[in-house]
Amino acid sequence: MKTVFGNTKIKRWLLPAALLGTVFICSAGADWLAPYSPQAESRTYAYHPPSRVHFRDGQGKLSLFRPFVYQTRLSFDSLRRRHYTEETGEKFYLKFFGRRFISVPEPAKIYLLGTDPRGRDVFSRILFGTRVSLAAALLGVALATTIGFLVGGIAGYFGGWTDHFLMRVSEFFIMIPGFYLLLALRSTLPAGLDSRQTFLLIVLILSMIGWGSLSRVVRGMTLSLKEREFVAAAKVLGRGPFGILTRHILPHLVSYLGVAVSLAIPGYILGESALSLLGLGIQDPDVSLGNLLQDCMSIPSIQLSPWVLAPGFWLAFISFCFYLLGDRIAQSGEIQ
Amino acid sequence: MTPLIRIEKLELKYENGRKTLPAVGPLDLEIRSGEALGLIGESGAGKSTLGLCLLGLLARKNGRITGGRIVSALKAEEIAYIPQDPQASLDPLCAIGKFLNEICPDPGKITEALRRVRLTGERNSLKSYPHELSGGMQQRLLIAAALLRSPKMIIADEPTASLDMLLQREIVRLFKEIQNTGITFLFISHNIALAGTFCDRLAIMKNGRVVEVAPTGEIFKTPSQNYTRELIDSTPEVSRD
Amino acid sequence: MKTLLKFAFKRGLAALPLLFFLPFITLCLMHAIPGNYFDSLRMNPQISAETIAQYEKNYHLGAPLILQYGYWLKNLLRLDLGFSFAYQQPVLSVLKSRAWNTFLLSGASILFAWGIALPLGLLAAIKRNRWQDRILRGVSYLGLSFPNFFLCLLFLYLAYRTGGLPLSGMRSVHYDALTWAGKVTDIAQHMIIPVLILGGGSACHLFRLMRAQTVEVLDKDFVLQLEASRIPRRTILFRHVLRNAVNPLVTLFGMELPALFSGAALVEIFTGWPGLGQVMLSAVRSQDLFLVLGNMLVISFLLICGNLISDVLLIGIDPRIRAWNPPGRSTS
Repeated sequence: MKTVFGNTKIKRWLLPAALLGTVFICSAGADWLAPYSPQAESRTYAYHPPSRVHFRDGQGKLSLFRPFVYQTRLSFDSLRRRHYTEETGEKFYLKFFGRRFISVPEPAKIYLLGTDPRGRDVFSRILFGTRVSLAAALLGVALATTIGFLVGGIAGYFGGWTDHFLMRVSEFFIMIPGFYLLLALRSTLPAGLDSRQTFLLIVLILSMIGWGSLSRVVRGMTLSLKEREFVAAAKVLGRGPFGILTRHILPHLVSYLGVAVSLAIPGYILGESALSLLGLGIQDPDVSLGNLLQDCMSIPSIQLSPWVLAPGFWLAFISFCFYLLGDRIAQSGEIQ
Repeated sequence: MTPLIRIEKLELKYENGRKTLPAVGPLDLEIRSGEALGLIGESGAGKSTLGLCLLGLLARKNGRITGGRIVSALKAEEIAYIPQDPQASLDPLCAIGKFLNEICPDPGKITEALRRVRLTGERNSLKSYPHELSGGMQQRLLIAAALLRSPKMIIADEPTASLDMLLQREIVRLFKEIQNTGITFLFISHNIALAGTFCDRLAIMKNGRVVEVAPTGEIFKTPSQNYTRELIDSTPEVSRD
Repeated sequence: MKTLLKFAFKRGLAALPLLFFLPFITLCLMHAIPGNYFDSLRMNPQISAETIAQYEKNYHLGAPLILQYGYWLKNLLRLDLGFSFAYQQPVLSVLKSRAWNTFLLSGASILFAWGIALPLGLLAAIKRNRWQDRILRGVSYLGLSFPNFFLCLLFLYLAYRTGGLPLSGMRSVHYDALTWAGKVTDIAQHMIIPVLILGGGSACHLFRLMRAQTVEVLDKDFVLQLEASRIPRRTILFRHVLRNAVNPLVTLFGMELPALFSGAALVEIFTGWPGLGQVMLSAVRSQDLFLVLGNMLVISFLLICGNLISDVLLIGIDPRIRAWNPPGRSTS
């Protein structure tokens, strides 16, 4: 089963690793990477477009290594539309690797992706939102995988009645249309549930929906592996069923599970986002990628400030990374 | 007598991703018209590869001709193929009647071919599906399919590997009948004794090359190569009909 | 034909537990969650104290879980799904029309998805690892990555900019004044964006499955045999490879349905399509218990119908299944 360790092998993993690494760094390092706190509002800077970073000053002199921004001033035109004009007087140089990854001295602002209707920095909010959404998804997947693994392993290993029964149960759970259940459950929650509880609840619900299909995968693998010689050998050595499950069957399942999990994570992220977007999940003042998209719900909003669409594309990017990862794991499994 | 097919210094390779695996070569062989030539060797010797190459189907398994040539008086369409695993070689979703119809739309010829392989009667209705037939019946169906094409040559790749002894003898008997109608046979097998009951000449293959080729009687009496001797000794005796 | 009916009946019977399972589990979870349902009802200013008292009496909302479910079942037998606060109508009438709308949307999306995914999956498998395959795979990953609600927002925005398509709902304001043909066109126009998004997502997923299956089939021995028998390439592809590749997809069809309905709910909500998803949302927002339960029931029902259809289709396609009965869906 050993594959030849050559350039091609590493190259294949480089891309998904790099992409996912970026995502994780964004979420883990949000406190430092984000220029502003996600809740920092500023009425004077609402609907602000992404800050223009200059590499060349007014006289045409290049300032490549010392980029800067100008302070902007709000004005309203005759149609009550907002305009932010730059004040080309003072230059405010970008500071890197200070207390924050990127910052500018007050009163200038560095809104890399603009601001939302309440003047909050979209870029910062995306970073913090990633953290929450990713955490919910990963926790949900972890829980679902554990349940699925246990159920599937037991069903596959013991076979017979246990198998039949457990598979019927999992069939029931697979049949649950996730979104409907999420909504239904949400309907019963007392209004005053705090954010942390909501978060955990969502995780719980998501995993409940998801374990079914994972358990079938595990069961299938267990069945096929059960018959192999090394299991018989282990039995002879006197290992109990649990030992066999974890010691021998587990390593082979890893690749298969890896694919299933990678491909499932985007679903969880999207589930949580959808809920939050509808106001039924993570709510203000907490940030999740879902409720960030609430600003996109109105067409005038998008017209005025198209940069509020950014979280959606970022969501797509994260999902894409996981699909890529799953694809690569599947490919390496094929070659074996 | 000019040979039907002459293979000269043929080299075949498989391509798997970036790796190229040599399978056959350099190989020289003659196949004479009307004969039954046995191609004997262990698994991996390259027998099936050679068979596929003659059929022009090597590309399917990512193989290529990398050297030598084949001079053939036959077109690829005039060669029929009988595979090793009949169960896997039949489309499970296709009724056997339809399958035969696709090869040759003439119902008269179909009935004739089925008669020749002795697949007639209620149980073998054309509407049945592969999984309803036994292994032996499936194999005979494939032989009928081969005959339907009115081929000049048949390549049989380990056609008896998944059958029991009695069935093996039956199939071989069938082959003899077919050969008597003038069809050339290339009989690929790892069982030298079985091939010996049927073939006129035997070609022994090892590691992609032909190590010995001679009429059957000679091979058994005086094998010139040690390898041949090993092969003869290792297979159980099958009585000649 | 008779065996088919018998089979359908047997499957239907076996599926009955599922029909009641979903509402049951909803009720269970509702009870398991901390907090009294009644308290949250009471906090809702739109529901008067008398209504609550009446509900307590008629529908035994205060009773323990099993009893509650029992009463709900009993009412179900009388085709009484309860009364909806939000719509001020019996639940059944609210759901009837919406169910049809969801069915229409889902059905169109399924047709669209299969119509695109099957041929493209076949193509990608045939040209495995060549440029057509790479492009198709890349596009399918992209399609899968975009959240369908986000695509709704994007598409609606684009539609607004180009002024081509209607922005929400299922019918135009002047619908009733249209001719029959006009009505059909009107609904079709409203369906374009939702079907594109819902069907598109489904198509991406199906495409990957189809491609994988076709690749597997192409490597099989019987395809080699068919080629050796000099059957024309076209016939092999469309009569043999296609049928064998689609086979497992039909089996999986039933399992795909819950995801489809979930997706449909989201799309309905964001494009204003008046279906069960929308109803669910308003039921949730107004804490309308019976509407929620009834909705789950209807969804289960649709799911079971879908599964039945897929089972029947499978029997039609795969002769091996006819030999034993019912098909073992527990085996992977």
